[in-house]
Amino acid sequence: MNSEYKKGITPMHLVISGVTAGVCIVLALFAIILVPVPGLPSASGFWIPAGFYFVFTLWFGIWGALGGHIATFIAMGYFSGYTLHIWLDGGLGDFIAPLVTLIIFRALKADPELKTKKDWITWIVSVPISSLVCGLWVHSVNLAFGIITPPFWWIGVVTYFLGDSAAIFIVGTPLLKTLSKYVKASPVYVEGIFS
Amino acid sequence: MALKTFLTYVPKDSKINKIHPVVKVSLLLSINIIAWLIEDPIILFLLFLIIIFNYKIFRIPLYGLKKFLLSTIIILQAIIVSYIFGSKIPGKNIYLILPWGTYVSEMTIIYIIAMSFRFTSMLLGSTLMLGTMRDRDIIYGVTCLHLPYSLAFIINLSFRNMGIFIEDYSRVRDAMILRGGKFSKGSFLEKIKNYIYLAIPLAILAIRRIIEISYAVEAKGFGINKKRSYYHDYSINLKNLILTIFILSLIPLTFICKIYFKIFIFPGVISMLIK
Repeated sequence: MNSEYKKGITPMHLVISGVTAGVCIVLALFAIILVPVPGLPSASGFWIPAGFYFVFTLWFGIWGALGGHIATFIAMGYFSGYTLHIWLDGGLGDFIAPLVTLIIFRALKADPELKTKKDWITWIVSVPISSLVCGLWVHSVNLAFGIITPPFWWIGVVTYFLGDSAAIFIVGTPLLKTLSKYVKASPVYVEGIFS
Repeated sequence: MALKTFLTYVPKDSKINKIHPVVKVSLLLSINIIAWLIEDPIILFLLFLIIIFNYKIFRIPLYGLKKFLLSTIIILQAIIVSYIFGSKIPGKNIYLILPWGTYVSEMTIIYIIAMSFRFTSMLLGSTLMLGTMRDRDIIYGVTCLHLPYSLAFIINLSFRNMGIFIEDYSRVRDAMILRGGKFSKGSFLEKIKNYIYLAIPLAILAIRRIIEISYAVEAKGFGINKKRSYYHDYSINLKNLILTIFILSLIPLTFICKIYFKIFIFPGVISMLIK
């Protein structure tokens, strides 16, 4: 069914990004209000939307990541202003991170349904790698804009790595395990990266 | 009479409403990049004053910025903590030497002030432009820049979906409370567990919505590469085009001034005052 309908990029892919962004904006606003992190701008100790847009990226390819990117920028901007710093920092960081997981999943041909040991290992390994890449990016941007100094760069990267990985595992794993089968049977599932 | 924008209300006869969205987007980019390139605290302070002055000129109420106040304080304290405890900026007087080798000089304090003005200038400048735009401005601005209409479509859809998702969230949450679910009681971990139970039905609703909207969009003949017609005319005139080019040219000009003429570099003008 999927191969019959999915020929290149269709309006459906744009809808995926728009709806993912709409969902994640609200979750991001909740996350910032519920678990704020003193000392870090527009950050949350438990970034709930990460769990969603990581899973949505595994289901819907780059379109899920794009939705996460728009959501983070809009939500963080709502609190900290729509600046170039915020866009580069959280916005672009949250676009790169799920893409890293997606590329690892597609390269290793792992299944988001997490059926085999290989799928589980891919999920358990790829999420911390993505969080580390994102943490390195986010705090390098903070450093480049003069928000933090080099000694605080390491602290930021380590806390980001731990906090983000925990949120993705806690929120994302049940979503993958319970809904992947349902999504794979629907016409919106993206097998590759773009379509 | 006032117009409702994303962040505030702007008087209908304010000159900012006459500025083309492309000019606003280029100003947004320029303010952010120029503030990023400049290190001189005096110049950054002047930039900050210019932006505040523009709020007066365009009669944009500053109360719309109230919600950014807490975040600004958080970012400023992050800058202060980071530089006080983690920097080595040489100066004439050293006020504090920390056990891990960093120190605080008068230049550290000046640098903190410079970085604070850099961030507040970016914040106020961005809000001045983006905060006074409507969703229509963004969509037409994107198309005027010859960026794909798809991008404007995604942004608009995400804003529309926010409201729908909040309704979904309330409905699912209420249903779970009626079945004995507790969201306000319990430890942090228990609360997280409850929110995970909430996440599954919300994800299902989001997937169903993607399918429904996709069919609706396809049924209406929406195509990614199809040529479109527009209800409003946002074509850019010569005056706005020249203004856009001038605003964007300020970015390389600032860069050249910084690299070749060594101006805008910290401590800049203030070093002459200290001598």
